[in-house]
Amino acid sequence: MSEPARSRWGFLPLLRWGAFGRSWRAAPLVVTGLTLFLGLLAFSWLGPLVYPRSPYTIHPHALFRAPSVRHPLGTDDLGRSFLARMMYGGRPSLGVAIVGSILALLIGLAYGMASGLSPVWLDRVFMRILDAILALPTLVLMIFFAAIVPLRPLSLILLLGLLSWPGLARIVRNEVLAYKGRDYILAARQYGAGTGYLARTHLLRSMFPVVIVNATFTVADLILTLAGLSFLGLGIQPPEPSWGGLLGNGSNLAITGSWWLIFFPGFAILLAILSMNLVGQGLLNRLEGR
Amino acid sequence: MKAMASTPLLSVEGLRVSGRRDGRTFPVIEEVSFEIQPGRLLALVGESGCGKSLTAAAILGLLPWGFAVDRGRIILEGQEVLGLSRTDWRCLRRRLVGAVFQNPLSALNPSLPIWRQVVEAAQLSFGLDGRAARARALELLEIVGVPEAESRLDDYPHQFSGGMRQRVAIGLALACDPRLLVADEPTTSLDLITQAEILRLLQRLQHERGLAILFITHDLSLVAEYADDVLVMYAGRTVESGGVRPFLDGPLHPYSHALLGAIPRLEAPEVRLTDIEGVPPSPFDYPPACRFAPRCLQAIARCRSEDPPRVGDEGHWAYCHRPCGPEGA
Amino acid sequence: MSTPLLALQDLTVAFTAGAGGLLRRGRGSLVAIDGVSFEIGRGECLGLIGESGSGKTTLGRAVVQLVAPRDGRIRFGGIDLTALSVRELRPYRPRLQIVFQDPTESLNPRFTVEEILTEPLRLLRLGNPEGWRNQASHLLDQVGLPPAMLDRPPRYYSGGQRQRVAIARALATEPELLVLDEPTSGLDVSMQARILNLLRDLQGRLGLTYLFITHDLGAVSYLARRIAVLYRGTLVEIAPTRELVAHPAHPYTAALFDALPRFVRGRDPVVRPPLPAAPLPHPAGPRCPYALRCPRALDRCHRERPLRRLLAPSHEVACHNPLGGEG
Repeated sequence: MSEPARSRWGFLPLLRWGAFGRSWRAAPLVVTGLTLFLGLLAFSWLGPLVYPRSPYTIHPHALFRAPSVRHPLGTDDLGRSFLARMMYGGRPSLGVAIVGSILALLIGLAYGMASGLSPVWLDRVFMRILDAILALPTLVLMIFFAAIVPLRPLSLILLLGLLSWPGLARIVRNEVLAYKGRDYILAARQYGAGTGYLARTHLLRSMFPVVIVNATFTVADLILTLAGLSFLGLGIQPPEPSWGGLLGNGSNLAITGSWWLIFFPGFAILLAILSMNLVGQGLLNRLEGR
Repeated sequence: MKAMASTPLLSVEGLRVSGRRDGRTFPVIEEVSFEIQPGRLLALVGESGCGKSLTAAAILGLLPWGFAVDRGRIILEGQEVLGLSRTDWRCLRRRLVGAVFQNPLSALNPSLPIWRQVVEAAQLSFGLDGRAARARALELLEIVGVPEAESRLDDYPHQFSGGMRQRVAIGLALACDPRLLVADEPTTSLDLITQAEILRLLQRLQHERGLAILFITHDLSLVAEYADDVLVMYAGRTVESGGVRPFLDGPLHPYSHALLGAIPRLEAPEVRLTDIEGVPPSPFDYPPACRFAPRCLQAIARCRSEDPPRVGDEGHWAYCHRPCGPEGA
Repeated sequence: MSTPLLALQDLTVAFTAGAGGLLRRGRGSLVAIDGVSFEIGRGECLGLIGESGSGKTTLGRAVVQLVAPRDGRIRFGGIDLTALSVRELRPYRPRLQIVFQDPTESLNPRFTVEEILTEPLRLLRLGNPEGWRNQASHLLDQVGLPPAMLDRPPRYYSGGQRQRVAIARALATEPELLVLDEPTSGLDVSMQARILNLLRDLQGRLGLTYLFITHDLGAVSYLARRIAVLYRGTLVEIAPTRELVAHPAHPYTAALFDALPRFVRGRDPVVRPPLPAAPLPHPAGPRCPYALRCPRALDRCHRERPLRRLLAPSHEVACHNPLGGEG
């Protein structure tokens, strides 16, 4: 009984600052994944402070330069610094996925809670609607919408967020059903808790771990989806760089033998997805290990 | 039965079971000794966490991972079992010892009809063929009093009520005609009436077939009615042991005394129940000397510094510095 | 006797059986509580005895309005709770509290003990926020636990301690009626004794009224001065504890007492027929629900449902052929 009382958020070990070593031992996957992801964020947002080259400036005399000291990641078909383009390209790739996931999470939470807390018949209606939405081919829809709305980060966030919440909603709803008949919920009703209060405190807190795990996987999903869209030319539009777009462009130029134009964006996408999956899996292990 | 009384069916001598934690080894059970004669029921009593189930597990060879017997002897029908190879020990156990646990649902496989499960052990031991096995299953279900047994052979566990499942589980334990039945809280999850039915079934088996029963419970009230001998455990040690009559007439150890006083009695509801302050200590943190001393109202300084001596006679004894007097009951 | 604090009148609770689809209707219903009536006086403890499946938990939940009855009335201090809307009911809820069987289930594992105990205070705005922690430790003190427990979640404590936390929480709203739904059944005998003593002390100190639901005759006789026996949703016998212990009239009550270990019973059994095995699902129809198991069943028991009648002062039984009766 000598271990200290864990705080409410104690299962997220990294949040206890200054306890890196202890956290790593407790949840190596989470710490590795988070470190990787934070590294990618820093690369994209802080990197340009260290390497202040413009990603847009064209250098006609330095096309297709391989990585070297002068051009750390080489240059592209227009002689632009590929390192700078990678850095700026990370911003929409990661930012849109993160904000889109948060949006999906909020919608999923609201919908799932509403469904789970409704009377049985209404819950069924909610779920049938969800089934209908889940039956739609998401990628095809995205391609469709991407073709008709102007492709700016904000519209992409809305697009991705609005299309990826149903999975989360179903998870939330199932969690609500699992918890709402618990004795502690009944006890709380008995001393005056209303449904809104129960949803905000008991239910939200009880399902928090499961929801956070799934939100993490959603981020990974969206990174991949967005990369896919950009690869097809339906995501972030040039000359704005994005990892998916860079990869697409690079593969068109594969014939020139410029391996770095494919390798680096591909590797960045891989790392981003891997890091989020590590975090999610690590959290899941912790949850199930208890 | 008197003639057999000199050769115990099971005798446990100075049993010690250790568990590991943080790379260190802690004795969880120490110095537990008892004997069971054929046709008798020994009740092993104590609060949860006192080591009674672990004792049973040691006898059944089912100690959980991380626990091991590291001292003492377990002698089954004159044969020392701890020295046996795993296979020999398993064969001996299968033929001589049956086990019944608290939750009959988890003792039965939900996806097999019960007759197959009931005779599985017998098939393994004697290689019964299909027809003989089915006949044996019917016989077993009739022994444990499953009504209309013939029509229920092909039913699955979920089609039985809790009490009936426990009967089936007992039938399963009896498949190889064991001489000893280890019953670990077999009635804890059951209703009052069903509990009585199961206990009376065990009593009948004990008398009719000369079965020895090691009955593990936290409920001393059952002891008076069903047990022949009692062994009270606390924090991994025996605190008191003896025949039921002398034990109930005058428990020696303050712990036994308190446990008996904690049972509500119909005829005297106004008498305040004894409650014991505190909780049993963790196996990794046993107090020195008498382990009950921190919770004992009779405790004196010596209880915390010296191991308690054995008091009483052969038929009923306890380890205590300040045993309760005969008027203590 | 003045108006009872709680009065049930022909309470019937039914659950819809089978899930049914969106368009399908539920397939019939399962009657869990069938026309139960009783009263509890202020400051009294009524024991409610029944096996699992007898509907005793449902009855307890119906009393505190966590389950809606299909029929009948529940009067609390003269007010018919079943006639109130959800909003009108709200001020009454804190006055009726319930302690559940399993504290691992009834205490949110993600809350600390302090959060658990201050939640009712917060929700009902009892006292001021600065005083809540003090109030919480006072509540712990009332159930004999140290204030140091406040800062940890319940999993750090033993089953008995958790159950006392659950009782402390139920006391937070200063209820008049406490429904105790098998509060001791998961506990060791020594822990059970502690909870029973605590409940007895609290009743004396705070003048609480209890509905004590259990399958344990020993425990119920320790707390309750009157006992009601529930069998498959119907009340088969109700009598003062002493009377019931000395002269059980319903064959089912007698079987219950007979199943008690002699140590608790304090006497040898009067008759001990082999206990009849429980029958398969009970067929509906106008018959005594116990008839199939009853060793004293008459032809009439299979044709006609017995009504409750007075056998002795305040001793009622629903049986055509009660023990000790003329037959």
